[in-house]
Amino acid sequence: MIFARKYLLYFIIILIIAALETVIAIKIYPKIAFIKNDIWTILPSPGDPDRSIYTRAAVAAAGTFASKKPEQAYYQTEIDIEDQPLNGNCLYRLSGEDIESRWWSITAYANDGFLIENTEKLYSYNSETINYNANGGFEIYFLGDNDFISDVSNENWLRVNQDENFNVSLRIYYPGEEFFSNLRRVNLPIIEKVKCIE
Amino acid sequence: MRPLLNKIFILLFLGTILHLAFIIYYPTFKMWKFDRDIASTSVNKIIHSDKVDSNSRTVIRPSPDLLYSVCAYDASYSPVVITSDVLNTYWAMSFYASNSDNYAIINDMDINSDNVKVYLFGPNSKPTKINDGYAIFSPSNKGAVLIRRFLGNESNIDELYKNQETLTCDTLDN
Repeated sequence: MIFARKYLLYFIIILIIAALETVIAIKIYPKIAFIKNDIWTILPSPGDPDRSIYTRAAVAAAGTFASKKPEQAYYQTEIDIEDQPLNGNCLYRLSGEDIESRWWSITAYANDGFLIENTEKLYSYNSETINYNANGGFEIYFLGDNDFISDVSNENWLRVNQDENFNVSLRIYYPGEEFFSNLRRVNLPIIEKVKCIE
Repeated sequence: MRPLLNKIFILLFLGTILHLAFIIYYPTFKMWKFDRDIASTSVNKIIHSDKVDSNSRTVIRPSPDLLYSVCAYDASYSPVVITSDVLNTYWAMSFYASNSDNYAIINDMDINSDNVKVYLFGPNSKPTKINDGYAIFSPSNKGAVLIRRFLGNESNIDELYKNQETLTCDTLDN
């Protein structure tokens, strides 16, 4: 009985060590593997067969079906240019220039990684649906409060959940080989806070 | 003192092995779960998705700009043959191994024809000369083929839905 209890204790210690190492890996991995470009982060080769075991596990946790290069560059952000979390109690403006690629899209996701329910059934803008401004750039507003609608009429805008944080994905299809060697410095849109609920 | 250090070292070593096993097999587990949820009764059959919306919960971070179809394949006993018409807009067929690696992609820019035929061989298959399509070699017997179509401004959405109907995914034996 004592013998069995001793080995059960060893087994529990091994489980705790494995769990601790996994937690540490989850904390450290994004800092090492993700490339940062201003507010955006990207895994340089999320779907490639030669990716590391940690990249494979991280992608499986976040989405499973990632594409290999050069099909798609997939950036994400959950912060604005002041490094503050994107939150549905504020109005945000994303502004950028057209992105050289076959096509691109910008999508807002709820905290759980799924699309945000809205009566308009509008979840994203892509290079064909966006309304460009006169100088060829574009703006997209993110809002969770109906009071902000008057501020963004006739603009590109996406609904987010009030009182909740949200995040934004930027998918760029076939941006070219040069783009992938320059992921840290390519020109990407920025997200600024316009105002918040008082 | 030394026996205690040895014991600590062995426990750390075994904990690390367990951690690495979890990291390595987690993607395989996720693919297995996807197969179970989506295609448990439909191996080597195409499943079409409607446009994704806020109720879509199968895959995290789905793209609302794409119209998807998927075939969970099993090439253990026979190569799998996939055929489809190809669109003029972005259209891509991505091949995923059982550990979720994206080992091959064919898209509309690669195909100089209105349709495509792909022979998907498992790791134990004998290579066969293919004259009427692409030969793709899967590193695992099981996996998934994901077809993505760009919805754009949805002006051609009927064409995209029709394209779904042209897809087939079946074993060569059938």
